[in-house]
Amino acid sequence: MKQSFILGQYIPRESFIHRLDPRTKIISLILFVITMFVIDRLLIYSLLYGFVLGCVLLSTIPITYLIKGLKPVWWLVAFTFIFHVLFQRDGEALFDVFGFFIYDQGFIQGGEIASRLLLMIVMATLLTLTTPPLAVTDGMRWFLTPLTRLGMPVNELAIMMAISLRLIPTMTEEMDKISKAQAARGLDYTQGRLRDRFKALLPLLIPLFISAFKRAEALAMAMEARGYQGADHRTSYRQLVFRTMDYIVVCLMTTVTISIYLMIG
Amino acid sequence: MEIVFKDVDYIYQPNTPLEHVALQGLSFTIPSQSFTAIVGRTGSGKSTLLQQLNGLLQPTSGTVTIGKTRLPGAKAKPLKELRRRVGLVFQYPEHQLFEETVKQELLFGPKNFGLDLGQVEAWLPQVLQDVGLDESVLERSPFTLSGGQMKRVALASVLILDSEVLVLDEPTAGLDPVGKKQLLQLFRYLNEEKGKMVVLVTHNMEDAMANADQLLVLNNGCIESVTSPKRLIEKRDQLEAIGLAPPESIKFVDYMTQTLGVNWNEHEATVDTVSQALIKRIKAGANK
Repeated sequence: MKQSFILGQYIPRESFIHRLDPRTKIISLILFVITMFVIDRLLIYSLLYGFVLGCVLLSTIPITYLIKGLKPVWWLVAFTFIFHVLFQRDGEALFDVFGFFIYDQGFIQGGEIASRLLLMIVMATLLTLTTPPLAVTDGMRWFLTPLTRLGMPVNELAIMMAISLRLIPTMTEEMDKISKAQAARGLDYTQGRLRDRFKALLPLLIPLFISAFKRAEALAMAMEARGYQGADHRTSYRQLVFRTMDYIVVCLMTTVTISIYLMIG
Repeated sequence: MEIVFKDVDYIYQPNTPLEHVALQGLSFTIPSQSFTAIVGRTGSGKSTLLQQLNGLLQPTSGTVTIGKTRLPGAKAKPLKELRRRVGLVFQYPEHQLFEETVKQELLFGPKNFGLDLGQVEAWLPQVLQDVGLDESVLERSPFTLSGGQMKRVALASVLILDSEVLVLDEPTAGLDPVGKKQLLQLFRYLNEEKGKMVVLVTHNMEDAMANADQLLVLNNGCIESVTSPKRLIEKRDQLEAIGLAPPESIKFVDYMTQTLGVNWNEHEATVDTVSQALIKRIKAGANK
């Protein structure tokens, strides 16, 4: 398998960030995103860049791996930046290209929005890279639990999410297998006219869908055979434990977020 | 067409935290028109090795030479040509079916490789017969067939390419004993009568010993040995050490030697030869 997009992958390590409770990481991510949308000064952005870099280093995940794995994101970020530079009409005109003015605000706002996008994606990726998918689900369930009183089927939602997350790597593997099997029968979807290339996707997608349905059916059967009856009143084998470190991180993140907010506001 | 591996390494996702070395320092030759079995326990690198045979995966280092094609380095066109000459049937090939009718499914490969469709269609009944299917399935949807029939259709969809080399990954998994025997016979026939090179990947030592003239034993991505079935039996202790069970017939011979003190000189592998030897002995005993 080629190295694919790393969003949603988990890399087991023994780092400080890996050991944090998933809830801590989710709260921190939310606080981080809030901070990012509050601030509007380039200086603080550089602090955020430093913070993200620090987190990546702490997670012991190689930076080169992160950079390569997020390749599609780079294009999106670059596009966002260039779009703003070209079409932002505020501020001072810096120079003109054949009667088309480029403004300084374009650079500033483009930089801000591209940075927000970039930092947000890196942090979200870091969350999934350092947390097993099931732990993420457990964390989400914990946050949603109060909503059960309002009649929201939180446990069902959580198990749906757990199953979908679990199936992503399985489906990727399946896709890899099917595309190889068809390539062995001479299918080539990297060459030819665009129409032919789209047509060449059918031999991949049809088997993939069929196997997904079969898998779902088998899973439903297996769950029923083992007496699964909704997820109410279930206990969990994996208990989430909030350690001292988690309290410290959450307090620190909250304090920093509030103080940045007060400083700017 | 000869297949030569020289110092082949294969690494999945190199230079990432998920890096995984699947093959290491493989060097061997598969002679043309031979019947080679690749055996090894689960995770020994069999499937990775087999995908090198038609360029689906290309060595991270070292070279694989298949006829005139040398990997890595082949361009798209020779690569496609290679895939036409080396037919590969994956494990559970029934998962790759997608067409509306069995006939279209069978013609999918020939269309992709630009074969003469008229000629291929004339050949359809023969291929169906070979894999043990009735001609009446041609107009049916492959999804209405049973699992075993689907497997046969998928196999036929590769056989119809009439490639020089046939690479099969556990082709008989999940088939009933009769169907299994039938298919193994077909592979033998294709090898002996049609002069095709057959590469069979399996962890069933019985099938491997009984059919192949060369055995390639893989262990943890390395070659454990490349020998004939006869020679491998002499090293059967080694086999068990790497998680492969010697064939029942060999175990039987060992049992006879140990418990009954029968001195057994034959080192033949198959059930047939062992039972023949046994019959000879019984008859000799009765005549005394």
